[in-house]
Formats: sequence, structure tokens, C-alpha cells
Amino acid sequence: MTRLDGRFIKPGSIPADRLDPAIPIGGGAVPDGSISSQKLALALLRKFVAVTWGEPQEAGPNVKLVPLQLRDYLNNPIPAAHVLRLTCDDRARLTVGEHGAALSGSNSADLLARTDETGRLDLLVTCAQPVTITLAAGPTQGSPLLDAAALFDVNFT
Amino acid sequence: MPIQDAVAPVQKVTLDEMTQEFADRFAVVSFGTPGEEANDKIVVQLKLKNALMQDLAAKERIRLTCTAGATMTLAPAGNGTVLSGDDSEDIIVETDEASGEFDLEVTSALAGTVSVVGGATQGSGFVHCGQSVDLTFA
Repeated sequence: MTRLDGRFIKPGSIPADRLDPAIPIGGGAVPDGSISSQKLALALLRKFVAVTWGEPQEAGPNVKLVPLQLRDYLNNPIPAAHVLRLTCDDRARLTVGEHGAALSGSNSADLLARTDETGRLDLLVTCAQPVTITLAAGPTQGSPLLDAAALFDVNFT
Repeated sequence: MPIQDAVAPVQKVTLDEMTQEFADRFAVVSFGTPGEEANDKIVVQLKLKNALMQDLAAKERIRLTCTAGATMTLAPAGNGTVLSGDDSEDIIVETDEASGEFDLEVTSALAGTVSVVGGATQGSGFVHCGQSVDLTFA
């Protein structure tokens, strides 16, 4: 008879005589096995929304398209429309391209926007100066739990 | 013992079971014990904890606001960086990556209590800012 694997066993959770004596019950550093992003159910995983940035593309004179994609902690796209605040310094202006929608502040340096149903937002950055513009995302009214720690530099030089 | 009772403890996910990497994705802002007032200034340390309330050495961007009339800045030789709004009542700071700390200096010429509150801002990760700190100026 194959003995039970004790990784997911707590004291009192199973008759002790069915355990391999070599298995330490409750004495390990991680009693029930460790909880990681990989072990989260999809519905729970998608509660934690992370902002990621794609490669910028030329979209016109002094305009670059920067695709923003919402992802979970396994780096999978989150197919949902969510509201974000996007800011940059005053030398540039932000608008929304084909994917997503601007809610307020279009053509300014402080934009409220919503991703499309695939979690994508096409951000159009306009700047007439040969400088690097840093983009930052963040939560605002109506945002989910949002990890926006990743900034993005757009080079106009 | 019925089998459903036997497996119940295994089915329940607790914070203690989070891997370090996963727990470290969730930052909690905590404040230390404020120092003594000197020249209308009080220093208090902001320190990040993870979801298990362990010290978290990470760079996190946090917006700090305080009672009107007071101002905030980085304490002399302190850890962390002020990103914007230095010497005002509304500043954005970055904790020191090596320690997860920001040493805050609050100035108020008026007697009374100054409350400091943190919050998520542009460029923040998952950060919980439920704890504030009250500073008493004599």
C-alpha cells in the first residue's frame, strides 16, 4: 500500500497510523505546502492586477504608441476592462489609441482611461522635445487592486 | 472523526502558508515610535512589512499627507527618497530598497497633533496603508 504524502497534512487531519513515520507532522517550515501564485485558482489570481508595458511603436510625427497590458502574477493577460490613472511629465501628452478608452484628461499629462475587454490599452504619447518621458500608472476611482510598480521610459531622442 | 473534519485544516489557506516570494508582493506601511520633538521637528520612521508582517526590504512609492500647517521631508542622513512635494503637506516618497525604510521628518511650528497618512499613488505596487501616525507637538 502506498503511504500518503505528508506535505499537505496537519496534525489531527488524518489518522496517524496511515502516515509514513518518516514524515514530520506539522514540524516542517511550511505545514500545508506553500501558497504561491501558481497555486491560486484563476478567479483569485485575477484579483491581483499588474500593469505591464509592451514595446513602443512609432505612431506618427512625435507620437509613440505604448501598449499597456494587464496581467496576473503568472504573466498571463487579464481579459477585463479596468480603470487606471496614467501620468507623465508636462512635456508630453497622453491619449488613447485603438484599444481602450479615455475617460478624462485626454491630451494631457494626467489621463484616466479604461482598458478594453482584453485588458489592453493603447497609450499614445506625444512629445515634441528630444527627451525621455517616464510613464507611470496608478489606481484611481474605480480601479481594482493594482500593482503599478513598473514604470516605463519612452525615448523621443 | 468524519472525513470532512479531517481534511478541513488542509483545505483552509492561511497567510502563514504563503511563500516568501508571494508574501513579499504585498507591502504594508508601518510607522515606528516617533522621536522627541526638537526645533519644531519630529522624526518618525516609515517601514515596510510584508503580508506576514515581516520586515520587507523593497522600493515602494507612497504618497504621504499630513495635517495642514505641517510640512514633511526626508530626515537628515535618513533612508529613502522624496520624489515630489518636498517640504509640503503632500509628498510622494520612495522607500530605500535595501531596508524598506523612509525616515520622515515632520515640521510644525504650531502646538497640537499632526496626523500623517500614507496611500498608494502612481507607480505603487500592492501597498496597504491602513496605519497612520499621530505626532504631538508641544
